Amino acid sequence: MMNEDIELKDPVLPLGRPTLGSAGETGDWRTYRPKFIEENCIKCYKCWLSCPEGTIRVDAHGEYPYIDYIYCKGCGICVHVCPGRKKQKALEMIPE
Amino acid sequence: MCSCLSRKEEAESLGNDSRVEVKEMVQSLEKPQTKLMTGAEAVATAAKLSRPQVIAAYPITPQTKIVETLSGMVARGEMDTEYINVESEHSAMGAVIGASLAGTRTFTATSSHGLLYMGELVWWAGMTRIPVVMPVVNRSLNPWNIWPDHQDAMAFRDAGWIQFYAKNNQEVLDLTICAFKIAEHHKIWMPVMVCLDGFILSHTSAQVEIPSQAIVDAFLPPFEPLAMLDPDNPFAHGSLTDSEGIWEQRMSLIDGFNNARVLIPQILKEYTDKIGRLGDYLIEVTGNIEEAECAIMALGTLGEEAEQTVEFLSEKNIKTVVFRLRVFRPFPRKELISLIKRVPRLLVIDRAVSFGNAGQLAIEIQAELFAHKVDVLFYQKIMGLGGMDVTYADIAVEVENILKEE
Amino acid sequence: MMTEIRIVSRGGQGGVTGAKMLAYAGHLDGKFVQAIPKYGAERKGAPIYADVRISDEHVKTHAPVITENTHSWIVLEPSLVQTIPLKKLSPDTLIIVNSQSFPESLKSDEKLKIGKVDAVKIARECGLIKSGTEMVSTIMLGAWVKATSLVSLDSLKEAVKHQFGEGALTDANIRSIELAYSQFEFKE
Repeated sequence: MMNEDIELKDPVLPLGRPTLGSAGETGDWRTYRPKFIEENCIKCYKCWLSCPEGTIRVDAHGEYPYIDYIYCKGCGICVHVCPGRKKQKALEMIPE
Repeated sequence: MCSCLSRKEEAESLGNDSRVEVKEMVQSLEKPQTKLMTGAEAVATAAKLSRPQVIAAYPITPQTKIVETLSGMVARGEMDTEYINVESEHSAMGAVIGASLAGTRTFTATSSHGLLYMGELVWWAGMTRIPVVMPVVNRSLNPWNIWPDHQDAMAFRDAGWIQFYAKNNQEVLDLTICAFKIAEHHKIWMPVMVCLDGFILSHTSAQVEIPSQAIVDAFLPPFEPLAMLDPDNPFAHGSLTDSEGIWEQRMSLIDGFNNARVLIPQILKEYTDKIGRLGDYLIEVTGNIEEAECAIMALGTLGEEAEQTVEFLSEKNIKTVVFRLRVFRPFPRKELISLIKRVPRLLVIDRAVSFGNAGQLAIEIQAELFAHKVDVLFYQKIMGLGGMDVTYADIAVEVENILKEE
Repeated sequence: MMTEIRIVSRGGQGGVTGAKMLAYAGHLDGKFVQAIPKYGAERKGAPIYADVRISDEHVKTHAPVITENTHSWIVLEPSLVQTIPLKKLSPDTLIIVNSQSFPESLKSDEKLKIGKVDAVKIARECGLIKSGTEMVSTIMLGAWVKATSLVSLDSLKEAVKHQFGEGALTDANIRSIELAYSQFEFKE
């Protein structure tokens, strides 16, 4: 039986480990940004739940949401889902 | 998992009444036994001895008695296995992939149309390196039928799976146990198909020597995952990646098959040393190669049928030799060329066709002959499609025709 | 030496199971054996055959038996005699038919060895009836053992026990084998 004299390489497995900003700083893709208006926020956290990139954080004290503009792509979903207070949304899109 | 030792201890700790019965059980675990069984039952027995932790399978035609036998073993408590009865082959492979990533030894079985239906996930398992073992009972494809040929497995020769073709029920059992060790070797880490001819092996009873559980346990240690899903250390498996990522994985798969080419004979040798019979070769040679006027090459049972042809023709004073490829993926190029160089004529028999060209085995051998500038008279023949009977006498006629032509 | 046997039956008569039992009996006698069924899906009532090889050496061939090489034909239903290619058979090939009398087509034959046993009568005597059909396959095996002595009667009984387990069914089958063993007769 012949054996090739080769180095036995380890397999490369297709594993994706979660990292911060694996596609780069996606904040620079933005043309509009969500602006937060604190007095209209009812702390329902729908924006936090809906953000496709997880760029909206809620701090440990359960206070107002906070947007990480380094990674926010400006998609506007948070603005769309925001119920606001008395029909006044707590988020609105403004030009960059 | 219970080992044989713990059963022995269990036996010793029991009262006198049950001692005789348990003693018999311990003996049956330690000694090899020869039993009459079909190929399907041989696969199931091998799977049982290999202690898979998860089996997922779809039980309806073209499925064979493999999963019926295994589900019975699980139901009777003879196996410590999670058996998932799924609604299709596609789901069977899906369940097995998930279970493998959760860190378990996995097993499923399929055949013909079942394999086609499983197709997408067969490729998924191959391309993303899931070390599952799956016997494929080779049966013809459309129109609806149940007869043997290699068309189903050949349709998946490029899917990144190691492919073995067994020649008899004994080899089915031996290769299935080896398949787990090969699939789970950390330098190989890829799925393995053990192909057995439908009806000719799967439904035919013949004698099989069954190794004891203790000796199989000594050969095949528990599953050791290379990567395992873990909520505390999360990862996504096979998620969307860029071209460079795919390229890296494909190159790694090519390396993996090169590793397998080196490691498979070593694992087969270890099996032979510890358990017996099998032999470490990738290509089995039967007959006198130095005297042979013509070599016959085939896969699966046609290989053993050709061994009978060698005896049959030697009575007519025609010298032949059989090269039976036991493993088709990785393709054992070097061994093949060194053998073919020593014979004047070569007849390659295929039990499948790549329509628009020729039999897959013939195509691949021709490529090697060209690459290595081997001077041999090459003949090819397609036989036994759709379960047409091929006897040793039929193969002998082909050889005699070749010799007559000149 | 290799003995090749073909069992000819109708789907549901137990021909395939019979082949398995015969192979198992050979296995118990220390021979190398093969039991090859050849059937399609859902074939109740259709003519089917199953082959058995009993050999002193490991059997390499996997194909069905070649007609010319067949040692014996066990025919579970008299009308199936017409499916046997009589002209192709080698001299002294054994044909055992389940029949009250020797079939017309075989009466004038000089070349072959012909035997018969009234398996239907024995099956009724022993209560081997399932879904209105007499189960004759073990009975025919008993006759074959009498005719050839190629496996032992004890091994055949053991094989029946292995197939059906302990119980009334096994007892009835074993009784039927013994009756077939004593009632089998060759054509003069």
